[in-house]
Amino acid sequence: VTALDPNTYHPVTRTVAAYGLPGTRLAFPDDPLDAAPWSRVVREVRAQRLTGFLVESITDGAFAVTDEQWDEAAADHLAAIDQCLQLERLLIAVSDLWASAGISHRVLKGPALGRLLYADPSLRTYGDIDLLVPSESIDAATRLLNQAGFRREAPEPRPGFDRRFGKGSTFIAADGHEIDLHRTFASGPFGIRIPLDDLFSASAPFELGGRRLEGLDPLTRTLNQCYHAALNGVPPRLQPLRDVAQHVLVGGVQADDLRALATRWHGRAVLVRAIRWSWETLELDPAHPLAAWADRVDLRPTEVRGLEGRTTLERAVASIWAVPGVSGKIAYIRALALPDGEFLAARQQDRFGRWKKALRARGFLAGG
Amino acid sequence: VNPVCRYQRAPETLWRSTPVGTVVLPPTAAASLVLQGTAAVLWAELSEPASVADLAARMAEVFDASADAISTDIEPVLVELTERGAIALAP
Repeated sequence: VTALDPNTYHPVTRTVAAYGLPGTRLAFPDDPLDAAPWSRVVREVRAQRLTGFLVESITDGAFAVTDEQWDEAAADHLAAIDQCLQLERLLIAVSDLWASAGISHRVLKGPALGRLLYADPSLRTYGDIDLLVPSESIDAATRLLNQAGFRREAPEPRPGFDRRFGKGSTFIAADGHEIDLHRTFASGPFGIRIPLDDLFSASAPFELGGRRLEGLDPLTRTLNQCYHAALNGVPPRLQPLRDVAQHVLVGGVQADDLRALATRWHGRAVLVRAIRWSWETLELDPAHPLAAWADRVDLRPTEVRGLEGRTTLERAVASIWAVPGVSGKIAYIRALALPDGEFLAARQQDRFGRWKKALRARGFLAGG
Repeated sequence: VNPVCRYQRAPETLWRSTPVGTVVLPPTAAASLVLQGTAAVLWAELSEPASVADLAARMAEVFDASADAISTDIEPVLVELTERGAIALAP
């Protein structure tokens, strides 16, 4: 598992991210930060969507700040909450749209976690809406979004790719807010190998704006955050690391259950990476059973295949072995090797140019 | 403000209570409102239908002030919240 650079984030930013977690060794300084470190911390807190934890740590008296620093933190948090409310309005509109067409769906991440995982939803802010729909409903859900005026950020490689292989796609509302439509939790082999029926076998309801919405059940939700924390690049974002730790340390998720589900999903490497990164970054108790397991477990080479893939091409190649069946593999390779013109046009590429570019980047082809 | 009417939060209004204040986004509003101090307490009291007199009496205890003084403070807030669609008259 890739080691993290401890200096990626300011120690106080990590302390904000860990605030309220039992057993963290991170502690705030006794006195307010000077201007330069404060400026870095407040910038990182904003970018990592941690304003709720910052404001709470200050109002609890755990983090000493000047009046000016408090004003800046408070203004940032109000702006973040305003954005969350605007996104929730969008969420309700889309949920109503799909529900009226009989499309089952689950709310992922921010709006669900704020209500189902944290004691106070204002702690958990977010910048977009993530919704999961069953594979067989992807086309209908996409069609309804298009009819409602959402603009798809990028076309699918070939018709039917999303429904069969894709992680999902991003749609932009008229006001610029984003909806991520998910079929699975990650692109690449780890997303392909998740048994998708598992994601809809149970749910956790919550109320929003007079509506009853459905989030994921606690175990599935925890693994969703592990996939989010572990498979979206290095360095990982602090917020999903906090969510992982919150599920394990506060949410009451049992280590044995989590390991069993990760094994079923062929995602033990994802769980190990998410736990190691969360514990390391937030300086949590290494004696916790899950952390101790993640530290000593031996993963087979086949389990970690695709874990380090960072580019689209690397993930695509690593995915080939995970796609079930020979005909599936052929369809997958065909879609990526010979995508539709619309897909290429959106990327300003041609069919041969994209492969030349990939080969050139790996030193197999000369020229610039 | 009609003293006989009872007010409550509109069910479609989205809102969030924070240590900085309560942020409220009415169903059709373009922008959210930030309620602080007395207005934030008023919002908390509007979880159940209540008349101006009910609200003033409950908040008088919180602020250790007279119900009349509280009434004078909250009436314009109720008017504004009603005009913006954040609260509605209870049936």
